[in-house]
Amino acid sequence: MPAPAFSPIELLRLLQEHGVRFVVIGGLAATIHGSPYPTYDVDITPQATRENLARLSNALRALEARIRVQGITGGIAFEHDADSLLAMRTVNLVTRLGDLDLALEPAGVGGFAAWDAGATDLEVEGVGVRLASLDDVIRSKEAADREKDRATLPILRELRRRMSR
Amino acid sequence: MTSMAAAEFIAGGEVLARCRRRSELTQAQLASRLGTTASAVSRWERGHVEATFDTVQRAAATCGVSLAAVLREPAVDQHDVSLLESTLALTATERLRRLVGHVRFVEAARDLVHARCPP
Repeated sequence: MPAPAFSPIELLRLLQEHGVRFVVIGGLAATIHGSPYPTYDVDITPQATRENLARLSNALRALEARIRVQGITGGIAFEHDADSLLAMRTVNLVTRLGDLDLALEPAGVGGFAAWDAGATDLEVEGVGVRLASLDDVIRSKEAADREKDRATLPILRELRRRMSR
Repeated sequence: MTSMAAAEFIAGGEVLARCRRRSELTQAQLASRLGTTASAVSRWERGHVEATFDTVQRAAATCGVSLAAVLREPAVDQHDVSLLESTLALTATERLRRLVGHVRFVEAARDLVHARCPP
C-alpha cells in the first residue's frame, strides 16, 4: 500500500457510503469543535450491532485497513468480520486514507448509545457527521488520563467555557 | 502548547481555580462548601491572598477532583488562547482542511528528516 494520505473527510465519506453508524470522537471531534491542537488519526465509536459491524468490516476492506503497529510501515494485514470486530473492542488501523482508531467502548463515557445520546449532526463537504459532544470528549480524555490527553485538556476546557458563553 | 506541569511553578490560587473549573462550580458554590465567602475564593484565585496547601487540598476534595492530576496539568497560555480564537473563527470544514494541511506538513517534514537521518 502506498503511503496513506491523511484525508479525514474522505475517510468519513467512505464509512458513510457503506452505511456505517458511528460517532466521531477523540481528537478529531475536538478539532471540529474548535480545538487548535492537531490530531493525526480519525477516532470513531461504531454502533456495536452485528449488522453495523458487518458494514464496517466491508468499509475497512475498501479502506485496505491493516493493524497499525509502531515500527512497521503500512501495518499488518488482518482478517475481520462483524464477530472479530466485536471481540476486538478497540483497534488502531492504518488505511489508505489515514489512520483510523475504532473503540466500541471508549474510556469514560460508555458505548455507542451513550456517545450518540450527546452527539449532534453536522455536514462537512457533503458528508453527514455524527459528532460527539465536547463534554463527552473531555470526559473521555479525563478518564483515559494519558500524557497526550492531559496536555490537551486545559484548552478543551477553555473551549467549552467559550462555547457556553 | 505550554508545558508547565511542575507543581512548583503553580500558585495555590491557580490550582484551586483549576479544581473549581473542573467541577464546574461557581466561586460562590465552592465558597459555600469550604465555609468561606465568594470574595475569599476570588482573592485566592487572583493571587491577592496566597491559598495554603491545606486549603487547596480541601478544595480539591470538595470538588471531587484529583489534586495530583490537576498539578500535572499544563496551563493555557496566551499563545494557546490566540490559537483557539483563530480556530473558532473558522467553519468546521475549514478546521478540518487546516488540520489536513498541518498533518501533511508534519509527515513531509518527518520523511525528510528520516531520509537524511534514518532511524
